[in-house]
Amino acid sequence: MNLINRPMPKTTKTKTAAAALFWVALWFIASWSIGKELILPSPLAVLKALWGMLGQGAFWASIGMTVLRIMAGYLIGVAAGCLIAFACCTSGVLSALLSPVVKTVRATPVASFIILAMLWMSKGAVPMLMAALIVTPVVWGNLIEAYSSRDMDLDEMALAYRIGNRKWLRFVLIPQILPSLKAACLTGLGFAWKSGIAAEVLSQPKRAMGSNIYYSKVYLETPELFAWTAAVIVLSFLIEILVRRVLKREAGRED
Amino acid sequence: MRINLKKALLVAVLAVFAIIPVFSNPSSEVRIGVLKGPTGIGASYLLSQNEEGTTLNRYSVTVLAEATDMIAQVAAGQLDIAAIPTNAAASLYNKTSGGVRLVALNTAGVLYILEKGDTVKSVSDLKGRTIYAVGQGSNPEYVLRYILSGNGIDPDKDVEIVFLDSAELTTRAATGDIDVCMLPVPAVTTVLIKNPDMRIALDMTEQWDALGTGSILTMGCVVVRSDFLKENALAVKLFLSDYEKSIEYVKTNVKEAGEMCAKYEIVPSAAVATKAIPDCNLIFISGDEIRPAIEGYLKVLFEANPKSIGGKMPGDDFYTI
Amino acid sequence: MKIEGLSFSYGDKVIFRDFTMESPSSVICIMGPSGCGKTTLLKILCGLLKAGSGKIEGIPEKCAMMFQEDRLLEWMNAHDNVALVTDSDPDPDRILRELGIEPEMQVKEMSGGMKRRVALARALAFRADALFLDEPFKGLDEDLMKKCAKIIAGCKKLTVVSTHSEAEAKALGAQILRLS
Repeated sequence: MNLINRPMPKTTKTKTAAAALFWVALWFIASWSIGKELILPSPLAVLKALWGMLGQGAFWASIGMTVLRIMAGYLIGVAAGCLIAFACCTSGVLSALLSPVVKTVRATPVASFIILAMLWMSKGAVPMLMAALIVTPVVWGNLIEAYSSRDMDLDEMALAYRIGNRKWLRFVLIPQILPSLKAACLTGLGFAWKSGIAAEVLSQPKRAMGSNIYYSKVYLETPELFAWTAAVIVLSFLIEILVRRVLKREAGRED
Repeated sequence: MRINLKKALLVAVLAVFAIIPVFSNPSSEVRIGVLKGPTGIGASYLLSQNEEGTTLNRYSVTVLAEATDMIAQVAAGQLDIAAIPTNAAASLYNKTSGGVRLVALNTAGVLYILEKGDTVKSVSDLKGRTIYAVGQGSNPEYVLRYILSGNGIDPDKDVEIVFLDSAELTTRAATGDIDVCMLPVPAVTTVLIKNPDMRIALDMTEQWDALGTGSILTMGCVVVRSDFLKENALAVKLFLSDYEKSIEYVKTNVKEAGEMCAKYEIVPSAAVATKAIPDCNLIFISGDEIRPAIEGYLKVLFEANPKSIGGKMPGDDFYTI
Repeated sequence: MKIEGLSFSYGDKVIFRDFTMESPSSVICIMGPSGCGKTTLLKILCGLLKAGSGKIEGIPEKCAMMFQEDRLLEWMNAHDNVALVTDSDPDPDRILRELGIEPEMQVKEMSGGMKRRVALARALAFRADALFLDEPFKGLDEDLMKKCAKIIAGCKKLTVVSTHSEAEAKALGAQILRLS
């Protein structure tokens, strides 16, 4: 079989739907053969639990607060990443001071941060801080990399034609680093969401999806645990679509 | 040269046969779990006997700090016999469709409300306060709610209940960080020793009785996995014998038991353990006496909140082994 | 233009050692084998590189450099690329059309020859007093080459061009300076 010059295999909507059905069927068979709802509930049990949850105000309140917390942290992280990257690219002193900090934050395990943050701040703030801490190094790293690998020939041209700092920033530098920034925003979103939920599970703020995941473990309610997890996954997809759309619009505007 | 090779081969083969027992898991070992609390205290003598090899079974013992971890391990089949809260036992029975059975009751009521101060004299004094507690999803949560409601206080609106894990709550209460909390013995003992500003404000067992339910507040019990019971009924009976002996010993030889508790890290220090043992309300109820002792308690919990025991009263086979 | 005792090295690699030349002509073509220093000389004359030692006379203050690579902003169109250097000048479109380029066209959709002409338009639009063009006719066929050469010559500024082809030098009416 020849591998060279093959186009990416196409996934149609029918294929995805069929695949989803396949996996759900597999899940159903597995849960039926294990037989213990505590260990692996059937898709129907999970659906039933989810249906029951949809009618409760607390469900929607939890979703709302979680989204608010995590997106706030995410936006702060993106802004911080941009600012720190700008500082590191312009000043040697700031770069020497800040780069090690960002790299350390990047290398620290999320769980350590969560546990430390729980000692220092209120429960509701922990997920927000986690989201920000996870995103900042990603954005920072991408921007630094994009800045260092920018086309220096264009910089020389800009100097030769004396176009000045503002024009250079707007027309030469930013278009070069924008794709990197966009990629960082999307990757960071996934990380922020995951670590934010994990933080909620550990710190259990009042109205939070993660807290409910924790409670379902405590009360041995495995179908609810699956239902909450499904809600988290669906929300993650929806938010990603939203952010992609916003980024497309912004990127289009720059021209 | 030739002789050396043969010798080396022989040694290697023997070594392999010697190592195999280390890796194999003899099914004759019973995996038991106890908590860092009264259930562990009651079993401390059993642990020491097990080490000396004088128990009727061979045990592999797991000591855990949190009931939720214990419940999870039983549910996952990693423990054969475990000490868990009574409401969790019923809940597990329901959620695993009869996957566990009660073999003994080991702790009556040991919950107390501690206060840094002198203002709480009755349950109604708790109104508007923040109560820190352990045991979310276990007896403490439901007992607290029941007693609050029974005294005209809405647990969701009139007070704020904050759940922490026992290590954190004990530390914070001991360092004076918390005003009002609910803890079981021996954590209570630890806090009172470390922080002279804290005092026992309410005895939850007393408050339970004052509400006149006619049932006994029974917090701890021992369950066995039904699958294990089917294959090893004799081992379970032997365990009960070992366990009863252990509880007897601990109650009468408080000092020695205290040292054992410290050794197996069930309680942080021997002094605390020795002081706490009398307050642990250790009991041993097995066989036919289990059902009448606990069914009333489960019923009260069920009527207050069916979720507390997993949605319905356990069936008859819950009480028989 | 006059150069006296010019020396320049890239690290250990010596490009010019005590180089001297003089030319009364306003259009000069530098020719020579690849790697002999044509681009370096242009950059030194234009002011982008600083010589180790030597004296240069006859170069005005404002110089326009056209690089060997196009160095265009691929994400913009031809007009915007040229307008970048001219400070709200209406000229960009005129120069582009003279060179046969549609101003609205996106640079990334252009052929090599078209990109070259946009770069040339940019250099011309800069309104400098001297032009330094590094292989400006790369990728252009003979007719286009002659047309561009005529426009360049028509500017009547000091023009220094690096090239491989004598035909190009002739089209410019330049004095040839050979490097080795």
